[in-house]
Amino acid sequence: MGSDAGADAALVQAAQAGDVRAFGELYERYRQPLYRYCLARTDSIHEAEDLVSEVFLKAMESLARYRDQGLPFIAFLYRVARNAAIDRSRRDKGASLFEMTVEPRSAVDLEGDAMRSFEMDAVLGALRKIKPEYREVILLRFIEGYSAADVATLLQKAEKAVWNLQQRGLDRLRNELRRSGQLALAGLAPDR
Amino acid sequence: MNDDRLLSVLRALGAQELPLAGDNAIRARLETAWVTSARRAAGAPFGLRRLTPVLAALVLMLSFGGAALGAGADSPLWETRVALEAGGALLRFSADDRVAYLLELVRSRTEEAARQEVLGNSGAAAKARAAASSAVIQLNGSLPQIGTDLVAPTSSPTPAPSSTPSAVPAVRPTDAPAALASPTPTPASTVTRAPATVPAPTTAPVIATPLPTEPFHSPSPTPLPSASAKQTTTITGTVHESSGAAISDACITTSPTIPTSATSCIVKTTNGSYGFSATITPGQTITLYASWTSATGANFVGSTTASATVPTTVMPAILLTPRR
Repeated sequence: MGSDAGADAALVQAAQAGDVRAFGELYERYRQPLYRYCLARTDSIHEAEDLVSEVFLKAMESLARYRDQGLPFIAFLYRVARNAAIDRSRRDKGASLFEMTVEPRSAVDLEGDAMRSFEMDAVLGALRKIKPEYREVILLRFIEGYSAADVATLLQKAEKAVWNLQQRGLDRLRNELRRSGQLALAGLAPDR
Repeated sequence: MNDDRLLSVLRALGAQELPLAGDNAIRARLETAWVTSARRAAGAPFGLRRLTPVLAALVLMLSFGGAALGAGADSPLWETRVALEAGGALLRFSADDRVAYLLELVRSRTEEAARQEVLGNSGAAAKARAAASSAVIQLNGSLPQIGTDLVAPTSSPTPAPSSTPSAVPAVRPTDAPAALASPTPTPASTVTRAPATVPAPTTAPVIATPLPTEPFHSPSPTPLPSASAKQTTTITGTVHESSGAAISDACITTSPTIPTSATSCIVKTTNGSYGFSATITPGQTITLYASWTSATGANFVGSTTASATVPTTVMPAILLTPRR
């Protein structure tokens, strides 16, 4: 993570000086994790794409004001995404929930893909319902695979707080899954 | 309570990727925003009144630019077109996109040069060739270089076997051509020559089967140029499938043998284009082979032949057909 932050700082500096390629490189680096983050905060693939676009545009606009604090650039992007998602949800309050569909990952195991797709859909749905602070920690720990220490750095929290949020977040996630009838995912029924 | 299943689904979510169409749309939006903000920054000190003539000029420039981008080398707008096209490379975010864009520039400018030659406009042809050369210069930092010469077949000490589909200089690509950054001509003695001197690969039957799409091209009837005439050229071209779709990740080689884990490609296509530098003798015949495996595992092959020219050799497009 330290070397990431160093490389990011150099790219940000170059982008601030007007190097479009450096900004392009930052986009290349972080578009996928940011997309997954946005996917867990919005109701559809299209909304997630829009949010990614909005976040990078905002990042571009605020590049001149960005000051390196020794954190990877993704920490800044997550913060922008969090605020943008909050703004959106305020704007879209009352809109009907869009049904999320996760694309099958291969054409070979259609049944397996359909099941995975269904389960991912259910977990994404549950993730969207839990509190943002829980969702963020679960997303960074389990979907993005960061260590608890890295998550603590990214979110500027104590590591112990991250462990607590993770534990409570998983409990809330299981509750949501149980409520939506996903007993196996909630750990209450044997695997099918 | 067992979290295994829940955690495995969470991890699977980590494999979700931004769809290509969305990715492209975002890139386009960002590129536009970058250009707009750069223009705004440049115009920031001016008030709106002062900006009006600038905006008017911009509108004129955009319409002028649109016209210029279609200008031929015999048009007074040619220089403008070249400048606008050169600026376009800066808007390509990823190295792959930039290389594909520059390859396309090299190809279109070389074709323009040929068109002007046919029309008898030698001055315009020279301008188009110069523009192609400047695109080649922009490209050269990014292109893989072949460390060996593409040697004329007649210089081979042993005659090629009759089963070989082409006696054209089929040099086996080196294992790591991209790592050989020096474009300096390699002495002829180090060159791996025509197939006769190459140990038979394990996939020999493929070599013995002529590729279906291209007719046999006999060795160039032109006199064998001397070794001292060797020069570096940028070889570019495109690869398509029968539907006309450009193929990415097709493997380009100088040998009809489909590369295995033991061999490697000179280069792989990006958005259907490829390009690399090689040492050649102007006028010698070059044959390149493309192989590609589709998502369903079907193998496609194709080939193309052209005479080498300096500084750029634009190969005819390779049409992939199913491998027999």
